[in-house]
Amino acid sequence: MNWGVFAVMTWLLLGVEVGLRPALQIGTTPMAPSFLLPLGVWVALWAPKHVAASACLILGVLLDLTFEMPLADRVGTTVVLGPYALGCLLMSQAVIAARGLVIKRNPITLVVLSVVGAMIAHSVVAALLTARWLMGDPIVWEPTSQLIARAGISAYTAVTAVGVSFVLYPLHPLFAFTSSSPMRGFVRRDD
Amino acid sequence: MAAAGSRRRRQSVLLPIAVFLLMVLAVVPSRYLGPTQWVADLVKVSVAPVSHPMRAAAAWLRPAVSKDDRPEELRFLEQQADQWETLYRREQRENRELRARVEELSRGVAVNTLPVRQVPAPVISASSDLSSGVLTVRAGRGSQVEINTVVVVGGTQLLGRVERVGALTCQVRPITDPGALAVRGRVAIDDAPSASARSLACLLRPAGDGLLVGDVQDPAELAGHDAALIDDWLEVGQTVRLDDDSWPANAQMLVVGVVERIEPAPESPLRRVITVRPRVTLSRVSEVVLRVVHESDALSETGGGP
Repeated sequence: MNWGVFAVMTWLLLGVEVGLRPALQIGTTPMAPSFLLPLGVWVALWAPKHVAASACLILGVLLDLTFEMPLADRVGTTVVLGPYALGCLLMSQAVIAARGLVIKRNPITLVVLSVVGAMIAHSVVAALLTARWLMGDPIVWEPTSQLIARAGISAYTAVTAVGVSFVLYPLHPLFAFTSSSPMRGFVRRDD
Repeated sequence: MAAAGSRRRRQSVLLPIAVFLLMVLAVVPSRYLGPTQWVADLVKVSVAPVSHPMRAAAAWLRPAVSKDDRPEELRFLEQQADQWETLYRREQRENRELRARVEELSRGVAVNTLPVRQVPAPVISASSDLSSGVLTVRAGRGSQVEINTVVVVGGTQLLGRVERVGALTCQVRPITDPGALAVRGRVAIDDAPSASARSLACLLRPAGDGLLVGDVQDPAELAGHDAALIDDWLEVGQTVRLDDDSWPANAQMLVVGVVERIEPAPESPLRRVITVRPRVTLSRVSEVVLRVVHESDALSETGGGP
C-alpha cells in the first residue's frame, strides 16, 4: 500500500471528522456518522492483512487522540489511548475475514461493511470505556445510552460510507494495494 | 524478497506489542494519562488546516443561532442592552459582595478586581466522538489562557470554561455538556434591571440534549414575599444569569439561557422545575471569546507592578 496516499486521505478525513460531524448530528444526540471508519474498512478490504491491521490501528489511535473525554464532578478532560485503536483493529480483522466472501469492487460492499465494522469498533469502545468506568475512573459515561447511541452512529455511517466510496474507488490505483487485482471502475465486468 | 520477509517479521512482532500496550493504556487511570494529552494537542493542531474550514462549513450548514428575521439595527440594540444589563447586574452583585467584605478588608484581605481581556478565537474542532461535547479552541498558553478561563459567545452568552490548556489550543467544556458541573443561576423576574428588581435562585444541571434543567427557589422563601406565588413570578422567556461563586468573578451575571418550560417538581408539586435553553446551540459555535484575566494588567492598575 502507498502509505503517503493513506496519510493524506487520513489527514483529510480526520479533519472532516472533527470539523463537519456536528453539522450531521441528529438533533442534539451524539449520533453523527464517521468518515474515518469507512477508510479503515476500505484499507482492510484491499490491503495485505498486516498492512490493514497497522493502518486500522493508526486510524484508531488518531480517533482516540481526538476524543477528549470530560471528567465527572471536576474540571478537566482526559485522552484515553486504546478503545478506538483496539476497536478499529478488531474491525479490520472482521473485514479481512469477510473480504473473501464479498464483491470488493462493488461500493455497496464498502457501505455494508462500514456499518458492520463501525458496529464492531463501537462495541469495543463501549466495552473498554465501561470497564474503565466500572473500575472507578471519573469519566462521564452511561453504558446503556452509549451503546444505543453507538448503534445509531454505526447505522448512520452508511451515509458517509456512500460519500467516501465516491472518493476512494476512483483513487484505488493511487493506493497501490498489492493484494488487489486492477480496478477499471466502480463495478468491474468479468465478461 | 528477504527485505520484505524481515519487514513482515518485524511487523508480526510489533503488532502484538502495540496491542498489549494499548490494552494496558485503555484501562490505566486518567491521572497517569498526561503525556497522551500532549500528543493529542499535536494531532489537533496538525489537522486544524482541514478541520477549521470544515467547522466553518458546519456552522454555515447548521448555524448555532436560529434564523432571526428582525432588522439588523434592532438586533444590535438588543445586544447592546443585554451587555449593559449584564454589566449592571454584575455591579449590583459586586456591590453586595463588597458590603459583605468590608470586615475582611479591614483585616487586610484585598478585593480581587483583576481586569479582563477579551480574546476572540475560532473553534477548530469538536471531539471525534460526539458523546463528549468538549470543543478545541485555537488559543493556548501563548494567549495567557488558563484553566477556568471563562468562554462566551455573542458578548454575553456563557459557553463554558477552559478545562485544559495546551501551547496552542485549549479545551472548552460547554455548560450543556452532559458531564458539566451544575451551575447556580438567577432567574430575572423583572425585565428592567433596578435596585428592587426581583430574581429567583436556581440550580441547573445539563439535561444531555443541549438544555439545562433544575429546581428554582420558591419566592415564599424570600424575605418580604411570604405570600408570593411562584406561578405569578415565573414565566417562559425570562432570562437566567449565572450567579455561582464556583465560577470566576468575571463570569457572574452572564446569560445562561432563557426559560423554555416550567413544570411542577416530580417529588414536590408545589416547587417548580425550569428548563433553560441557551440563546445559541453551544455545541455548534464556530467563534468564541475567551475572557482572559491578565495579572500584569491588574498589578499595573493597582500600582503594585514595577
